Amino acid sequence: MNEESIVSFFDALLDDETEKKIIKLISKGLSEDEMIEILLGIKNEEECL
Amino acid sequence: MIEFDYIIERDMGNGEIETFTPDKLPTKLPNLVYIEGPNSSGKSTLLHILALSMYGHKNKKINPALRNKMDALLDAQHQKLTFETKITNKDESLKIISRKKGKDSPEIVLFEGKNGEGEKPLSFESFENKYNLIYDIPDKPTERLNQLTIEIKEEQQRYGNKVRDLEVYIRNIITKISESRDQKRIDDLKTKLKQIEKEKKQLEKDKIHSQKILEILKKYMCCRYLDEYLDKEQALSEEIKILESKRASRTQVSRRFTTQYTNSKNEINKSLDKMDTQFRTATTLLNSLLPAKERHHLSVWKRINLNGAINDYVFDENLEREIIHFINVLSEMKTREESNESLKEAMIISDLIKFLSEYENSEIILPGVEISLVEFIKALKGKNKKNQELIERLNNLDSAKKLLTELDGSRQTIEKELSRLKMLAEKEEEHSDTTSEMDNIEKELSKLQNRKKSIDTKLDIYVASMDEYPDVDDQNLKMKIRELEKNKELTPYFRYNEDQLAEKIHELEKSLKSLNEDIVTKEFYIRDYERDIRRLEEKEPHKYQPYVNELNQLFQKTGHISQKLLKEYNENISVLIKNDLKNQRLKDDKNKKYFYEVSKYLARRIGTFHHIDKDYKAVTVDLISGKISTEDGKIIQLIDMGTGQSQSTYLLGLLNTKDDNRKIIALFDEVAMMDSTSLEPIYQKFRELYETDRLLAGIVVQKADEVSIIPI
Repeated sequence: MNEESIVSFFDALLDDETEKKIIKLISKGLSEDEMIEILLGIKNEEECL
Repeated sequence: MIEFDYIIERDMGNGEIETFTPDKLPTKLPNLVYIEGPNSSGKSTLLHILALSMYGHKNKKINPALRNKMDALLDAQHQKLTFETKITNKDESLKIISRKKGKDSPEIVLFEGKNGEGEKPLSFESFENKYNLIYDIPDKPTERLNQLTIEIKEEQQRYGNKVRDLEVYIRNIITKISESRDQKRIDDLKTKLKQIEKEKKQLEKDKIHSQKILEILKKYMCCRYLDEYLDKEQALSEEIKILESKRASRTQVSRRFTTQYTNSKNEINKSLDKMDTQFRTATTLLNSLLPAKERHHLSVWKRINLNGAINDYVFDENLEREIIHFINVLSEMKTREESNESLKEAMIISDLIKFLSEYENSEIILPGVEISLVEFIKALKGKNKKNQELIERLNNLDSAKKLLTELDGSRQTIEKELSRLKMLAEKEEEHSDTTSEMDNIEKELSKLQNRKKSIDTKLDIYVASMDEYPDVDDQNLKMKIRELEKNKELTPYFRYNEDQLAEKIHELEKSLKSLNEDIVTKEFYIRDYERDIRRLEEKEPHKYQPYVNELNQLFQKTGHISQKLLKEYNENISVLIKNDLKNQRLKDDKNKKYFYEVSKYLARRIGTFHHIDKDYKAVTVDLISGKISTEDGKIIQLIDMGTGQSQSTYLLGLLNTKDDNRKIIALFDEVAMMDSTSLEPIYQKFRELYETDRLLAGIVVQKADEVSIIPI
């Protein structure tokens, strides 16, 4: 993750790993369905990007 | 390549319309370009139109002064604007085209074309999601560093909205799962259904048992108290009969005495009335006959009240005494009167008149006197006239004496009657004792009749209830009671009194009602579960069914993040934007962490910057104290930084958005304070971003005497 990233700003503020992951997935511009599949472990990020 | 063209028809106020076109600048520019030019050469207009073509007038991150200028260009009353812009990336795989065709319409249409495919329209929101338009005039750059916090606010809002969209999406999935076939839920429902059916069966058993007990107790109560009240009613009837008979005999005796007394009293009153007439006649005669010396006796006589005897049952004792006295007085008076010679003569003449009056009509002439008989009688009457008073007085004496004798006779007769009346009165007195006894009888009778009435009411109820038990009649009532009492389970209740039994029956009825209600409720649940099971079994399972727990957790987490981003962080950044140092929230540890992270983030945005003659790497940018701390431990006050250097630092901050995947279009105006040393880091950043396909276009504009277009 880039140091300049707003994501790393949120990452530093959030404590929960899942919450961090949600922010990261949003930053990737993925669709809701793709994000859900990744969060549920049905797919991995590489498959969706 | 950046291509643009525009026409501005401006009303100069005197009816003259002046037309402006990009005649001093080339309409095709490289993607990274530095433009110099004099005033009114169209540099700023170019940047305004390029920003406007990408919805810059709606972009809240852009300085309000610049947005106002864009709005002014759209002001159709003042001027008419049409334009077309096109930006193509370096390998021409991407182009964004914007058009404003209507002079009077503010409508701007933006399209995106990728890989030679057709142009697709981009709304403001879609453009915002894909592209990052940076348009700035870096005046007062140290103050403008604050504006980077507005970017943070915008990003928080953008991410917050996306998280909330994800939250809604997850909630919809969960709703759909709950409406889809859920085998676990079906199995749970089936288990619950079985349990409820079992409970219902038990309730029905309890109901049957309760009904049985209730029926027996009701029948037992009915038989037992019908029997008991029948016995009581019979006993009471007999008691009443005896008392009524007693009352009747007492009434008969009483009535007989009362009749005799009344009759006797009436008779005596009649005799007394008659005697009173005699008394008053006698009094009149005595008044005229008696001498003055008898005045005292006469006064006593007159005070005698004959009618008082009816109440005293005896005459005034003066009556007898005065009668005797007056008879004696009258006898003496008569004797004295009879010795008078004048009276003797008067008596003879009177006898003669009486004798001769029988021959009054004969025409005999009396010899010697030679007068007729009539004339002779007339002469005799004339002679006797003066003796008449004596004769009448003598007659009155006789009459008075006779009247007094009769009065005495009446007195004696009535006194006998009064004596009998007194006896009857005494009988009546005895009868008054009987009246008190009668009252007691009446009271007792009333009491017994009331009791009988209440027993009759009870009997009516029990007799009516007996319709339900055709097997029971008067003959076998006691036998049926004994049969019912053989039920061992109900033995304790057979010792209950009527009220206790009634209470127990009421309790059982209530319990039965409650059981029925419970059964109905269970039936309702059974129908409900059966319907739910049928409905669920008809459905297809949802693909995320096995993940429902995880989805619920994700739903909570997305809710938590959106709450933080859209509320907590938003409030924090607003405090910083307003530079509200007094705000108590700053003291909170959690908020302190937030503000510290902001300072670190701003430092990352600035990165390495040039100050005086050296490069520094920022570690934190504290906008509240206006200090930058550097990697090598130096603290630099923002106000100490040169204008050009701080402009450069600020613009770098705007460009350092590596986290943001959106493609950047950077437009920087009026960078006059920046020398080549300050501009170089900006150019480097432009090139770096352009090479990595992050920057679509970068234009830096500066005032100069001549127009120069220099690719970066």
